Amino acid sequence: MEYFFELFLGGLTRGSIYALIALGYTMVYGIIELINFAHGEIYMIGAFTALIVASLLTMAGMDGMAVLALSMVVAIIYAGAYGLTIEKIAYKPLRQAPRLSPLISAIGMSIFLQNYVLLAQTSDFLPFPSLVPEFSFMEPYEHIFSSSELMIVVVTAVSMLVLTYLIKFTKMGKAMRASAQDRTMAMLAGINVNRIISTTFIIGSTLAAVGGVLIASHIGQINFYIGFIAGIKAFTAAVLGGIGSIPGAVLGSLVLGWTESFATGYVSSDYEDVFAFTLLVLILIFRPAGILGKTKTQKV
Amino acid sequence: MLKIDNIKTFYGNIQALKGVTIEVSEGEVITLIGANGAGKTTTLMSISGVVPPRSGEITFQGEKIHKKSPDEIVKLGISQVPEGRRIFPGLSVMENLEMGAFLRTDKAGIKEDLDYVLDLFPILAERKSQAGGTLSGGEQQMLAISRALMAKPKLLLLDEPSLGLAPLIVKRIFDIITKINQEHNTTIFLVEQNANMALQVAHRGYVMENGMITLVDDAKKLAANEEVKKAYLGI
Amino acid sequence: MKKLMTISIAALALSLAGSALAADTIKLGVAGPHSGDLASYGIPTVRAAELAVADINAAGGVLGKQVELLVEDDVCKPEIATNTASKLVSDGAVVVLGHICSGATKAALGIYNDAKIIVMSPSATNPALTQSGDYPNFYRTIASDDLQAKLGAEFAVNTLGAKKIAVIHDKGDYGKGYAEFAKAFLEKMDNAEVVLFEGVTPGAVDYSAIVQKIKHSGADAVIYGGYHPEASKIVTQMKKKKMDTYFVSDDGVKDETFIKVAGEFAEGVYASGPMDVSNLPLFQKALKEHKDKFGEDPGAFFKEGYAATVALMNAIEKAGSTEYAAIEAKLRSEYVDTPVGKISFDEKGDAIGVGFSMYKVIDGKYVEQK
Repeated sequence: MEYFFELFLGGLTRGSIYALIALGYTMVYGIIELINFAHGEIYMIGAFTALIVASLLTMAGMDGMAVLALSMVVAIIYAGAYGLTIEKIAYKPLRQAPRLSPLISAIGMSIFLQNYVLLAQTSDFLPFPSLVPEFSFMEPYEHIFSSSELMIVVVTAVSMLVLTYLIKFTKMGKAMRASAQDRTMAMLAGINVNRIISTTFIIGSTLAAVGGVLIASHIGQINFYIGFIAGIKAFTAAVLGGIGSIPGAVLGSLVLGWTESFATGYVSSDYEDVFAFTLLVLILIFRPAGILGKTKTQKV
Repeated sequence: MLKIDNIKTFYGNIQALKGVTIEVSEGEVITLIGANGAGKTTTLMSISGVVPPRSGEITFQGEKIHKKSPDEIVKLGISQVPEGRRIFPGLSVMENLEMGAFLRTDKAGIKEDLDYVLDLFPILAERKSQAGGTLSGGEQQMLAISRALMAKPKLLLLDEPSLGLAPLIVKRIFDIITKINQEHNTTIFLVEQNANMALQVAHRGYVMENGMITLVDDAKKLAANEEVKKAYLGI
Repeated sequence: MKKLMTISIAALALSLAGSALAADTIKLGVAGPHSGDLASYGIPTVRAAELAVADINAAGGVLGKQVELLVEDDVCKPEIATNTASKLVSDGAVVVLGHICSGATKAALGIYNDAKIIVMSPSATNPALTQSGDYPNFYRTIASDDLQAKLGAEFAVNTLGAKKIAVIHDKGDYGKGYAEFAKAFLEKMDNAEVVLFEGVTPGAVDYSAIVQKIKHSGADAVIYGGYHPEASKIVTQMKKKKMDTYFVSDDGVKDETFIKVAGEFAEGVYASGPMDVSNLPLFQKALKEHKDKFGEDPGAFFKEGYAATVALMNAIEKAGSTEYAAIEAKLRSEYVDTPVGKISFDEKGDAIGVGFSMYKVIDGKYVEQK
C-alpha cells in the first residue's frame, strides 16, 4: 500500500510538471488553433534563466527560499518575454496563412531556440542547485515524498487556482475565452484579439517557466534539450485531456503522470512510453476530442 | 455619418466588393438587400474592419476608418450584430453582455445599458447565468442585439437578424429595432434577405448585386419598384 | 636499372638462403589488416611485435633461438583470414599474434586449432571468443566487451557484499549490453540475485517511479548501464529519497561531468573505467622505443600487441618447449610484466589484470579502488 502511495505521489509530481507545460499548449491552441512546438523550449529557457540568476544570487551570498523566489520571478519575466517575442516573430505574420505555415514556423522556432541555447550556453548537462530546502516538517516523510516534490505539487496547485480565477472571473479571462470560442465575434465586440493572443502566450510561457525551474531544481540538472521530451509529453497530455480545454490539460497531465508512474511501478519502465501512448490511442479512439474536449463542428 | 466610397474588398484573390458606395445619415435606418452572395455581409465586415477593403475609403463622422482595427472601430461607436448571431457559446448570458461592453469603463453607464437591454428582452434576465450556447434561436438573436447595444453604438450594423426565426419572433425583433432607432436615435444599417420586412422599417434602401450597388432609393419607392418586387419581394 | 635488378635478386636470394639456413628459429605469426582502410588497426601491432622481438632477440632469444616474424595481411576480412591462417600454418608459425578484427579472428581460429597453434589477439573484444568455449586456442590481451560488466557484478557482490541487485539500463546499445552481461554474470553467481532488470527512458522528466521501484525491490546495489545524464538523475533522486543503496556503473558514468552535475550526490558512487597504465615503466619503455624508431606516437592496440608478444614469448621460454599444452599451461600459470600491466590468462583465454578498474567518487574525484 505504501508502494502504491509512493507511485501515486510520483505520478502526481510528474503530472503536475506536465500540467504546467500542457496549459501553454492548450491555451494557445484554444485561441489560434496552433500547436506551439516552441513551447517546450520556453520551459528550458525558464530553467536556464533561473540557473543563471540562482548562481549570481548564491555568489552574492543569498540562500534559501529567497533564491528560489527571485530566480523564479526572473525566469517568469524572461520566459514571458520570450513567449511574446516568439508569437510576434514566428506566428503573427502568418495569422492569415494556411495552417501548415505557422506549424512549420513553430518547429523552426523550436530548433532555433535549442541551438541558440546550445551555442550561448553549452551542450553539456549543467548542475542545477536544489533551490528547495528540506523542510523540517517533511523530515519523517522525505523518503516517500521529498520537499522538492511537495513544492512542485503545491506550486502547481496554486498556479492552477490563480489561472482558474484569471480565466473565470477577470475581464481579461472572459475575453480570452470569448476569443477562443469565436475570434471574429470577439473582434466585433471590440476585443483586441492580438493583445489577447499575446497575453495567452505570456501566461502559457510563465507557467512553463515555473515548471522548468521546479523540475530542474528537483532533478538537479539541465541542458538545452530538456524542453523537447517534456514538451512532447505535455503536448500528449494536452491532447489526451482534450486540446483547447484548460481543465482537460490538467486532467490529461495527471492521467499521463499516473499512467507512467504505475506502468513503471507495476509492469516495467521499459514500457513507460508504450503505456502512455497506448492510453492516448485508446482515448482518442473512444473520445476523439480527448477526455474533456468538445467535438467542434467545422465552421464553414 | 457613414460614407462608404467606392470600396473594393477581396477574399484572397476573389473580389467580393467591386466598388461599393453607400451613405448613411445620422438617425437613419437604411437597409441593404440582395441575393445570397451579393456581398452584403462583406460590406458589413469591411465597415467593422474585420475584412478591410483593398481600395476605397470609409469615413465615419468625418474620420477615416478603413485602415483601423476592429476594436478601434467599435470604440468609435460602430457595433455589429453578425449573421448567425455568433453568441459565445461557453460564456453565460451575462458574460456575453459584458463582452459587448468590453471597451467601456464607465461602470454606471454600463449598468444603465444593462438594465435597458434586460428591460427590452426580459427573457435574458431569466437566463442570466445560462451558457449562451443553450439558448434558443430567438433568444440568441435577442442576446446578440443586446450585446451589440452594450457597446453603446452610434451606428448599429445588423446582419440578417430575421434568419431562421419564427415569423412572430421576427416581427418582435423588427419592432425592437425600430424602438432602438427611435428611443436612442441610433443609426441602423440593416442587411436583410427578408426584403419585405426590411423595407417596411427602413427609411432608405440599397439593392446589391454581384458586389455592386444597383439601386438606391427611399424604402417605400423601392418596395413599389417592379424589378425589386419581382426579384426580392416574391410578388 | 638492370644492374639494380640483379642486385636486388641477389639480395633476395641471399635473404632466402638466410632463412633456410636459420631454420631453427621460433616463428611468430603476425596477422591482421596491414593494407586497406583498416590498416591503421593492424600496423601498430606489427610494429609492437618488431620492437618486442628485437629486445628479446638482443637478450638471447627464446629457448636459445632467435625469434622470427611471419607477417601476413588479412585485411580484416574473414574469407581472407582463413587463407592467411593456412599460410602461417604451412610456414611453420609456432604461435600467432592476431588477428585484429573479431570476425576475421573467429574465421581463422579453427585452422590454427587443427594445427594446435595458440593465437593471441591484441584487439578482438567479442565476448564469444573466450566465453563460448568454441575457441580453446584463443587468448587476448584486451578486455572483452563484457569485462566491465563482470567487474561491476563481481565488485558489487564480492567487494560490496550486495545480495540483491537491481540492474538498470538506458535501453541504448552500450548501456543495455552492459546490463545484460552484468545480469548474466550475476545469475551465474550463487550468492547474488537480480531483483530488478529494467530500462529507463533517457531524457524523461524525472525518475521517481523507477527509484521507488528500486527501493521496493529491496535491492542493496544498483548496477546501471548507460551514460551520466540519466545516472546523475537517478542517483540524485535516490539520495533525496534517503536511500543508501550502492550505485555501481560503467565507463559512461566514469566521467567528470557526472561528478560536476550530481555534485554532493555523486559521493560514494562506483564506476568502472579503463585502467591507467601510463605510469607503468614497460609502457613508457615501449612508447619510447616506438618514438625512437618510427618518430611518432603509436596507433591503436600497440600496447596490447606488445603485451601479447611478450606474454607469448615468455610462456614458450617458461614452458621450455613449443608444445601446445606446455605453452597453454604457462600462459595460465605465469604472470608476466607487460605494457598493459602484470598479466596472466584465465582458462577461457581472457587476460587477468587488464582492462578496467573500479573507481569511487570520494571528495568530488574518481579514486581507483585497488
